[in-house]
Amino acid sequence: MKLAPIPHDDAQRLQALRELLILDTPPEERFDRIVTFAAHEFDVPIALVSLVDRNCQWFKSRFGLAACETARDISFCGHALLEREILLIPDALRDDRFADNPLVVGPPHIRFYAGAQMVLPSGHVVGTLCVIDTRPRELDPMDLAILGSLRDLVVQELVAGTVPAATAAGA
Amino acid sequence: MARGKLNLLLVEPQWLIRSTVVAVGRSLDLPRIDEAASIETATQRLAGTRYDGLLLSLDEREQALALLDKLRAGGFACPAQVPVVVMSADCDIDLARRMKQCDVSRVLLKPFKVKTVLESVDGIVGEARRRKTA
Repeated sequence: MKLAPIPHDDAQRLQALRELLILDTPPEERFDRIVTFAAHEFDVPIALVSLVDRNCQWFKSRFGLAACETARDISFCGHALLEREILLIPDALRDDRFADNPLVVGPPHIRFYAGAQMVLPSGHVVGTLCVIDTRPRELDPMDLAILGSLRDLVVQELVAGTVPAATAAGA
Repeated sequence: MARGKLNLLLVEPQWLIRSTVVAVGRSLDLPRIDEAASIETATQRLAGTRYDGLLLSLDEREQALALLDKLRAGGFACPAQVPVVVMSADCDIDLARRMKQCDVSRVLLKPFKVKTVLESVDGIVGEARRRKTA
């Protein structure tokens, strides 16, 4: 297994994530409806808005998964942070990076993963909108475009929820 | 797949479906898809724009059917026979008969996948081209 690599700008990335003021906040319908929609659209048992913090990935919204966080080093989303395109793992058992990952050989038994990076206007990648299945899958270009569009909606919500520093200071 | 400069109108009250269809259409270089969240907005758009096809939700059933009747009567800026795909939560015999009378190309039953709507755009494009050259 390859541990999730750490981006060179991780300190700044984490700062951008913290400034969203969203970590450890309660579930919100505006994210949950997109995640539920994604799960139904792709017919997958698990869909997540995952935010990659220093040591763990924390799920702002989750469909089909009881855990609210997992360790960053074994996370698929941790790998996705460094990808330019959607990270697509058709069959984790056939991928050296993930074949013996605890999330693959144990619950939730991930076989398929597609994670669309959530990039803030600052350029920092804070996490992914991801869909997960327990069986191997493929996505075609239209599927990828749909996942990317849903990801864009999540990012819009993330950014809309932030209060610019100047506004906050002047309030 | 060459699609030219066709222009479609999507009438759908659900924001997630509407936003995703329009965004994916843009990213995949599908025909331009304008959006309307209500029949009222759709009526205004159809009055001013010559659309090549219509994706019409029947969530506002009576108003949507009235709009369809007006479209087929030539009451909007587009040709009366532009292809129409309808999206509905149900379809009984009466509605199916009505759709046939209105020359509706396809009825998509809700809940459907966004991908199904996008794939139906291909059908609209082909039909719009056939009708233009007929």
